[in-house]
Amino acid sequence: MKPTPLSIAAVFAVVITYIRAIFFTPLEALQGPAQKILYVHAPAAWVAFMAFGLVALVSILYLWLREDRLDRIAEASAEVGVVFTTVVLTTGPLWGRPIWGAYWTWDARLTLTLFLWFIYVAYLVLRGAIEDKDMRARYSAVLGILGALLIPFIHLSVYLFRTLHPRPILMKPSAPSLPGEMLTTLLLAFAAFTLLYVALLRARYRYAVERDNAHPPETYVA
Amino acid sequence: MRIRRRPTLPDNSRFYYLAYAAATVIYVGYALMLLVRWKRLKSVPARDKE
Repeated sequence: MKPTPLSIAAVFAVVITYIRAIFFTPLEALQGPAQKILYVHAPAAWVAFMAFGLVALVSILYLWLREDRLDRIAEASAEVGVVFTTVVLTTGPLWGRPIWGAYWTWDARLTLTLFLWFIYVAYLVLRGAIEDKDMRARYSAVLGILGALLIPFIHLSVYLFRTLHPRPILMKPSAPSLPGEMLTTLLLAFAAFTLLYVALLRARYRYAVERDNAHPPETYVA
Repeated sequence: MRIRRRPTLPDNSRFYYLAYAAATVIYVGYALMLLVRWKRLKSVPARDKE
């Protein structure tokens, strides 16, 4: 697998984001340096939601059209989504410890995000456990759709429940509540990590195509 | 005379460095894992021919 212009652009964009966030973005007055975790934490959460949203979308299309490539896109997006959710669940506690005084609290936002991670890890395990191609695609499509139903609850959990987690500063009906320099860095981070997601998704999809060409999946007739 | 001091920022930079390092390790680790799986996949037909 050779580096593509897309993957090079994604790595370049992430490096630029890191440099801007670390060296050229001011510190927040109350939280200090820990607030800069925002620039890796929030974009990873956005990408995870987008990845699992795509799993649900292509899974619905798969159940309708029964096209193998839709199943492969769902498989690839779920795996990359799990990677981004792992980043969310790692950077979140590292931000929570200095600001809240605890790495973890069982509040709605955090707990539901952990459940989302479990569901899509289970999705990947399920895929590995079923040999029949059609059955695997059908069962995992259903799980992929059901798992994505958690996403709106996670987004709205900070409004529906009393939580320690702050409310959105960007994805809300009113204007973003961040100074210009911080907002620019955050928007750059959203773009860079979205690009990284697209590059990883493409690489993982190409792997799935090559794997199925090299070892065609079995279909059992009952 | 009252001296006005600038507010002191909390020293929590180690958490911020750790978060950036952890995120980088996860992304790079996954990319390397993909690369290893790809290379392993490509090497299977060659082994079969022998």
